[in-house]
Amino acid sequence: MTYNETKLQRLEDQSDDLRAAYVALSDQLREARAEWRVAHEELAQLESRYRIDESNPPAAILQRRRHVAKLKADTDRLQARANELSERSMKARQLVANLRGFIGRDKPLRVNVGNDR
Amino acid sequence: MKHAKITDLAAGALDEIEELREKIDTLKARREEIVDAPIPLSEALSKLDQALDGIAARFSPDIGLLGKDASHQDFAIGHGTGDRPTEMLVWLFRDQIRQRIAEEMTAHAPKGALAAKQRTDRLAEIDRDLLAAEREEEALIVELEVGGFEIVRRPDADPRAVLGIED
Repeated sequence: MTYNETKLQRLEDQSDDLRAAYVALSDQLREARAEWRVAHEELAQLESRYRIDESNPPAAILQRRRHVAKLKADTDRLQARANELSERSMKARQLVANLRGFIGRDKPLRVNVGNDR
Repeated sequence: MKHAKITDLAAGALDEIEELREKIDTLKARREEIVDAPIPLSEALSKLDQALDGIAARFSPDIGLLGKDASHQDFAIGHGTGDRPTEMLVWLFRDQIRQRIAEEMTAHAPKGALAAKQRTDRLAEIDRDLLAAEREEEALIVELEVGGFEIVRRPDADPRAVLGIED
């Protein structure tokens, strides 16, 4: 394999890895969101069932609220990471398609001029 | 200490990449302006002449001389003549139409026109600068990758720069 082909292969592998990471993270995000929804719903039911003195809320409620807030923060963090990965994955795919398209019309690859090691 | 030095180098390279990307964006915007720049009036008038000649040439009336005994008239214009009114008008009144359109074009000639040679030269210069900037950007990305940093390449990066291919 020439330097160019090796590099293209590496960029394709990177693109595939990014895609796989995004898919895995999406699954994780889906689970995290489901967990948060359940906890959020349970908390809402508890809060509607009991009259809570907000000046002195019960420790159990406070703990639940903290838990729900943490789950929400985790979900948001995962969402942000998934968005970032999605964008990087998309850019990597576009770049590979761009390079493949170029090579398709420009075979064979001509002399390498730089970065060859 | 070594770690700090590497980080400083990386930060410097990242800044350079950022500057190069701004330069690439500017060059691409300038390229668009050059591509979209109007052509000079003289070139536009020459193109008008070509266009009118082309339109007129598409009109070829089928006119036949019939001879006195063939019909009550001496000539005939074939069917289909009326299907192409524009072509027929240009064929008949080319010079008058040319003059009228040329007057309009002259009155509304845009500024910042570029002659074909100027346009080609400027585009070639910008393309050279663009490719040089993209090669520089790619070299920095590769350097950073060797140092363990991962940089997202631009999806529209020039393949010649990314793959290190000659022009």
